[in-house]
Amino acid sequence: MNETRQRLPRTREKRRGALTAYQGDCAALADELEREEPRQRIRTYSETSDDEVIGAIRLLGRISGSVTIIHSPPGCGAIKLEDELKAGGSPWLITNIEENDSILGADDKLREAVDLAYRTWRPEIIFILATPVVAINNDDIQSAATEKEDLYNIPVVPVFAAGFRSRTAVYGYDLVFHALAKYVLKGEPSASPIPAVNLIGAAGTRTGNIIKDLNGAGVSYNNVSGSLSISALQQSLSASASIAIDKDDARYLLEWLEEAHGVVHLEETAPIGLAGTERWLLAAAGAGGSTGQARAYIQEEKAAAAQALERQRLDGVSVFVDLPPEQAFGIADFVEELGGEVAALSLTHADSSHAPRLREWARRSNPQVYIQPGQPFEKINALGKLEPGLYIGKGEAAVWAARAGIAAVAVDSVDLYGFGGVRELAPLVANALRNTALSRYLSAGGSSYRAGWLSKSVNWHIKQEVK
Amino acid sequence: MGTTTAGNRNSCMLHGAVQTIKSIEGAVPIIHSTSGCGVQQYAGVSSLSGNGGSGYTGGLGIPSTNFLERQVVFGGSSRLREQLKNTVKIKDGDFYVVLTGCTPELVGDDVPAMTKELQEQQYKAIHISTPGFKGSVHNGYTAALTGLLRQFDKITCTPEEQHPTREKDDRLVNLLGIIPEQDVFWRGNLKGLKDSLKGIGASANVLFGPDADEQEWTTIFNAALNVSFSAHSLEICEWLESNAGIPYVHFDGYPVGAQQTGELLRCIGKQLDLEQEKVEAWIARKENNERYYILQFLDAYYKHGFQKKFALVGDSAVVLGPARFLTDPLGLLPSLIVVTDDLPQQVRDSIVRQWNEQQPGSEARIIFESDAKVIEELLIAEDIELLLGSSIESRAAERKGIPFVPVSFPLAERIVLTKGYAGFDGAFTLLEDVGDGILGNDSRYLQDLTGAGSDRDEQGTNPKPAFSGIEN
Repeated sequence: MNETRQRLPRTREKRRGALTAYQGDCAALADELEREEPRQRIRTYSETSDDEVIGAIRLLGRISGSVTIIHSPPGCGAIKLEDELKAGGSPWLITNIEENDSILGADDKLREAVDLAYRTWRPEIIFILATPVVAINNDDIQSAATEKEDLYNIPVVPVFAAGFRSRTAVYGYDLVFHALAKYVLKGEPSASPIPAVNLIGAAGTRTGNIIKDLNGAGVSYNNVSGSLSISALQQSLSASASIAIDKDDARYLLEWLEEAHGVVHLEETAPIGLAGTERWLLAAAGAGGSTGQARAYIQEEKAAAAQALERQRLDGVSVFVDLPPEQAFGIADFVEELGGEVAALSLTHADSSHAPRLREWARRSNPQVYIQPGQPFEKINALGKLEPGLYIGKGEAAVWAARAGIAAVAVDSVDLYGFGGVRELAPLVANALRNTALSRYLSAGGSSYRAGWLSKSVNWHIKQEVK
Repeated sequence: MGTTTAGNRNSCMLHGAVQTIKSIEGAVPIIHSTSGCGVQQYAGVSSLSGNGGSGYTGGLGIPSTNFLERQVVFGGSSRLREQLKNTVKIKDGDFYVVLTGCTPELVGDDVPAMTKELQEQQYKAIHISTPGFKGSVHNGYTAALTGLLRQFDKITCTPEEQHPTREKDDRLVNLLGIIPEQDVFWRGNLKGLKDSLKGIGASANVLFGPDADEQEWTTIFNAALNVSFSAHSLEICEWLESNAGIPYVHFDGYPVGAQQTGELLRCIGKQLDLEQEKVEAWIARKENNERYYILQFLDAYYKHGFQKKFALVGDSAVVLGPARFLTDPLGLLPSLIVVTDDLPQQVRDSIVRQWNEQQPGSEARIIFESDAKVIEELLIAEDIELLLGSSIESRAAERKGIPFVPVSFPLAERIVLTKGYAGFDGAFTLLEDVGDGILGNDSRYLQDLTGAGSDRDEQGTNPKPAFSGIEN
């Protein structure tokens, strides 16, 4: 892939026409995304949402043996502190750029930070994460990295995040994978491919359940998920194929492995729900094991899970699914498996890779689809109009649904994937409907949004971008 | 600030301003910056402040212009104009505060002009410059409050509010220096102080959180006295003194327990010229109250060996009061106090001098340090039997096998809503928490003895890697 010669990967907007603002139905969005250049939309009012710096920080925190130097004022490291304390992320330093540095540059400070990182942790790899101030004042990170790499004989890798280049947070993952591909994974793959499939997960993907399934199904895999090791990443160049737990997050790595090293990636949807897990496991087994053993395992697990699901039905309940695309599509399938109806899909972004899934949903019930990275003001408006029986999303957004009086489920605390995910998710959903007291209580508390806004259409502040 | 740190716990000026503004009832912060700035504040500060949440208008619901590359190139003023115009139609609030992050400040957006347009449409709106590169979360608190005060007429638009009666209320004090969210127990601390003042006939404007009464912001200039509990509120007090003629008194940290709170009340009583007998009667009553509870707790104190050598880590406003209370009257032995906020040298000198005056003969060292790794090394090397600090320090306590009490930011593994250590009754909460830490550690030790599952080795140390991967 020639892109690794570039300093930066193309944004998801340029690469795949990613949209971050939309309202319509699945068919209309599929039409839009299948166009050569989807019409970009902007918001004339917006609320805070994840950016590429946050995406990059979360992924860097999962790379074992690494230290991340966040080259920025102190606030850009706040999320790293959370990542370290709540998710056990890797060590980090922050250069605490101040006003003088923002004018005169802070290259020397950065060099000292690399020295400190090396002296303190003796890491396998050091990442230097650029941030908005650095992107604007154009500190020469590259030469500092090259100089220190020569000195310490370990990779010192610049990751050029800016916080304003893309509207998608997953671009932060692309930036990290791009940097790894450009600066670290340079070695040639071994002559004969290893008979294993790369299991790829990015920052937020839990892996316990799916690894249990892979083992049960007898699939041989190279684990590039959870805590990512450089050696596993290096080994991924020689695998027979790649399969992602969430291919949206891992998109850049999947495509680079295929284009640069011929490691095909399996375009399988996330292993969520019974059918989703079955499809995904069979695809993985086809590339890294025997489908015979996988089929036997799947039958056994499906039967056990299906029996458990009998007591957790969602018959007739309309559900608003609000998650990143791969998770949203998987959960929506699972809602239907439970007998529920998908009232709407709310996605953090959507691009051309999602068109087939949207087309599939268009042929089924063609639900409404919103693209809302964060943006509780739009969610509350949409929920008020659709009045679903249940909301499924992440905790940070579920609080807004609950305040709108909708029974809410947050998936943060569960491992969604595989047959174990089915067993974890189903009772969570059932419990939310069993006792809806909290959302009823909250709905009486009033809203921070004006009634005038809630009476307008959801897409009132979404406009087509003028080029 | 300005030097490279590991495990930085002091976020930026923008975040400090955001959390200050959103803690005022009816205020709506509007971030003019990249989209992630608000999320970083929410996840990296609010959620680490005893798992603070979105509340009424925070979290993902904070309006933000979400700066893009085109705004970097062409300027973001028109995007801000559009955002402001729409925010007032969407977000319910009494007034709006535009807070600028690093990017628009570097680009040079004309934010005051955009805010003025909103003011001209009769909206209560102001702008405060808060780029992250200009200071820490503490400076953000200072900037937000001084910004509000300087532009006070812009957020009080009704005719009577525009020319508010500035008659002094000679029993009213403004309490300043307790920073929402950076002080994990800010709500409980403000309530504890407010309650403590009631008994002497004074009333307090706490200004933030659920215990701020509706009229507090309109009477802020009517106060007869400002009380500062942090070096970061001194600038605010000085501004109020020169511009509103309100004198101030300063304390290094909030008071904990009857002795310290008594000192505070005597000082306030004197400044407000309150009836001395009434002040002393109230203090005496609360001293008796404290004595009652300490007597109740005394058996546990001796049975479980509370008289330990301890270290305490956190902001200056947060650590000094608890450290004093644990030392006197409780008789614990302070060994190391690590102050983690960035303070000018003269303030550092003053803190050390005050401590030595208040605790003559104390062997405690006061260190000013914010680097998590350096602090951990100091703690590991220190001969201590009890550690009070943030979630970052819990790992050091675990490694040393000593009791740990979470008292400062960041605090990730507890839910904090009303708890506080300030004032008369706050001392009991501190006692309960220290007790939980010591008794909890004892019960873990008993489990070890009975082999009920632990990964400690025979020295009582823990093989788990320390914070940021520091090894023995």
